[in-house]
Amino acid sequence: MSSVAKVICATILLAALLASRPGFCQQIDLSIADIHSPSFSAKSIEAGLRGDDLSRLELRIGELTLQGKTLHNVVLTCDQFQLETTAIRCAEGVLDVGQKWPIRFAYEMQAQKLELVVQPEKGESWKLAGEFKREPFALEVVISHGKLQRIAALLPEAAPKISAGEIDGRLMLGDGSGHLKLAGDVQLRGVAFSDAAGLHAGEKIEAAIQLTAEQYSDGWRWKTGVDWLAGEVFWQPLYFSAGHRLTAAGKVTGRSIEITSSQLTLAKIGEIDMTASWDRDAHSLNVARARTDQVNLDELYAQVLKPLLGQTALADLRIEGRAGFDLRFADGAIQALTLALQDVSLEDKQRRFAIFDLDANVPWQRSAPTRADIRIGGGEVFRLPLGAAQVSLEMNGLSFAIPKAEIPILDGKLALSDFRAEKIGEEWRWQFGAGLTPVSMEKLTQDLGLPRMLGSFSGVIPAVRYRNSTLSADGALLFKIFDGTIVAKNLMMFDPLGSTPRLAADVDMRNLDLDLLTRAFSFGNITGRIDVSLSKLELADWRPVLFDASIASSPGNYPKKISQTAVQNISALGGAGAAAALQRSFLRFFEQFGYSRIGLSCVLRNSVCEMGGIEPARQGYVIVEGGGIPAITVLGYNRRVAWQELLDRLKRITQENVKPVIRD
Amino acid sequence: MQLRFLRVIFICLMSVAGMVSAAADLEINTPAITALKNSMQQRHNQLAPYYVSGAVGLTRDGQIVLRDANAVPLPQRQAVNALVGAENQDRSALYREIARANQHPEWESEIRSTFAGRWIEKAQPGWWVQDSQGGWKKK
Repeated sequence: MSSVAKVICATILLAALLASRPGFCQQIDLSIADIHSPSFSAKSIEAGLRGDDLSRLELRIGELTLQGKTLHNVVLTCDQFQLETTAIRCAEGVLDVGQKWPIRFAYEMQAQKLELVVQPEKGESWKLAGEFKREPFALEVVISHGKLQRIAALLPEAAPKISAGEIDGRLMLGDGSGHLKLAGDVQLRGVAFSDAAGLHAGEKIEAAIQLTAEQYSDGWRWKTGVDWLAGEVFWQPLYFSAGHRLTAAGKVTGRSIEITSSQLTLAKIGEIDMTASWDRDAHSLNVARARTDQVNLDELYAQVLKPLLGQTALADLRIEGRAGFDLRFADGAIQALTLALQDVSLEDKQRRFAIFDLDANVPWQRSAPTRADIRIGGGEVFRLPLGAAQVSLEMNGLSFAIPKAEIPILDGKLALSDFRAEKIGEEWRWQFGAGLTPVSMEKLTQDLGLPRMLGSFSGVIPAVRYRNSTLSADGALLFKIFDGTIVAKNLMMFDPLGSTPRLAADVDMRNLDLDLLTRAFSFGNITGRIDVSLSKLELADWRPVLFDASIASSPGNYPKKISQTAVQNISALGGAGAAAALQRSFLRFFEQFGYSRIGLSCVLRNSVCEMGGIEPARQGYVIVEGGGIPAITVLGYNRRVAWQELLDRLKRITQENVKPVIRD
Repeated sequence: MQLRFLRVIFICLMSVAGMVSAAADLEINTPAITALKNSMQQRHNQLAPYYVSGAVGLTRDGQIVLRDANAVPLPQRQAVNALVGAENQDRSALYREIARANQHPEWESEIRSTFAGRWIEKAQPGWWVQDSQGGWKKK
């Protein structure tokens, strides 16, 4: 029997006891035994009739516990209490539960009919009508402008507190074709709730709720529909405004609460079907399933995923397309997830990466090997365009592998080999190897927004590993560029997609064709070849913070010429005190000069570049050593130059002609 | 104005904290530190009203927290929550970067606690700050 029914029975019992006493005295007192049930108890119950004609009822409950909430000194008084053999009536009573509420009730003995109305405020009423002679008994609760705060005390202590809201509606409990049936139809208006910190809160909520439930031998079978009509909810970190709907059906037994079918309609997102079973003894989710054929990813991302992905690389995306999924939960973990993506395009708003026209079918299972087919129409990594690709992803629990994949980059291809990712403890680790077939430098530089360069770029990338938020390469990365080679060793990248990515490496460039290089940077023309050593290189936020750099003419015989413009620009790099020395002053009128060696070094520490050249010279250092006829020597004078100043000079050089100081 | 105020605080912090932790150069500047400072300065204008209203407070571990979301209109709570998350990410990165730039990554927690104390010390009257026991008080 429910708590409500027990209260009613207790009331009837009390009434019967009172009715059975003759009214010959001016005071009748009764002590009633404590009443106990799992969700309701009442202790220290005293009742009495007072007054000359015993017309004043006083019922006092010392301690009343409802759903774990305890009220002390609940008092019912009734001045016009009528106690007759056929009926009990209280036309104007007061129920004192801390607040005093007007109450009236009537009970007909023969028919065992009860009517009770509580009107805490003007316009607000809670009406209970019951017929207990019937089998099963019938109860009806009608609420009009009921203040929700009045039942808020019945909610668990940990739940957010209801601070405002009204309820209207009707609940009926009675016979439903041989079963006890509960039917309810209520409307909520102006509901506000919040926890103490305001991190789980709702305001101005309006909703319509329908509920039916029937009692069977194994428990209750129920159905509900909830329409969220107005208002908003913030449930950290999610925010929803109204417009969503839930229909559900299920079963409640002594051991479990089951949702056997339900449909959640999320406005602008789509419909999700769910089932679940909750273990009432263990207070845990036994099994659950959520599936949908199609949801709109743009709204799903904006409303649900983006707040959950805050502070990750996926926190700020532009995304469109459709997705279907089927998620199965059991034994405390997700056991299977089938994901179908259709026409999905996503783009990082900082333009670090993008994937376009993605179609994928990913049938993941925790305990069985499966394979996902992924087709990509195109993409972008750090503004570098990627072409269409088809990838087979082998999955085995939390281990993922791509044995081989080819991703077009510009007019070349990145051949990915042996990609593996797995979760070790709480950390994801992954690794891959790759080879890059020649890519046109002209296209590459154009797409990266760099000065136009000629030639091609290709490379071999050995195993690259990611662990502890650090990307590192085993062995050397080898690239071909400007007809020479670049070898990068000891490559480490920390937090590559975080707010402060850092890169460390030692880079050696050999035999770079100066003609190709200088033409790219509008530096004036230099014919010849150079080696560049860039050791202890560290980039933070993609800008250099540390390196030991040196440039020197490559060994070997090759033509060495330097143009007047290049001489001027190299001189300008040395700053205001820099000078170019011409062995003979009239040579300034020549367009080209011969040289024997070029050398320049920069040790970058604390944003200052310590500069040097081939060898020291009076008050400076030699950057270009003359050779042949006509020959020229260029000297540098600034030994310490702020890195930013050096960058500014380079920028000026590539933007305008700078006049050198010519020394005879 | 608020931007300038933050900058002044930052410079004060850098210099005073530098004295406290004699070994670490807290004035050290790298491109990453500059980027983080710029990012924090830009965000400060958005956060300032919430420091004033008490919605956001300064914690004893050099972070900020949405301590009383009730002071923020409900539709804005998600955005403020995201601002707090982004600010904390930048703050953690700043402490880490200063430690790294000093060639001593292991100094990160010491740098963090030095900054925590100074952020709280330099907070404006009316802002909410956490004491050493974790309790909240209004400056």
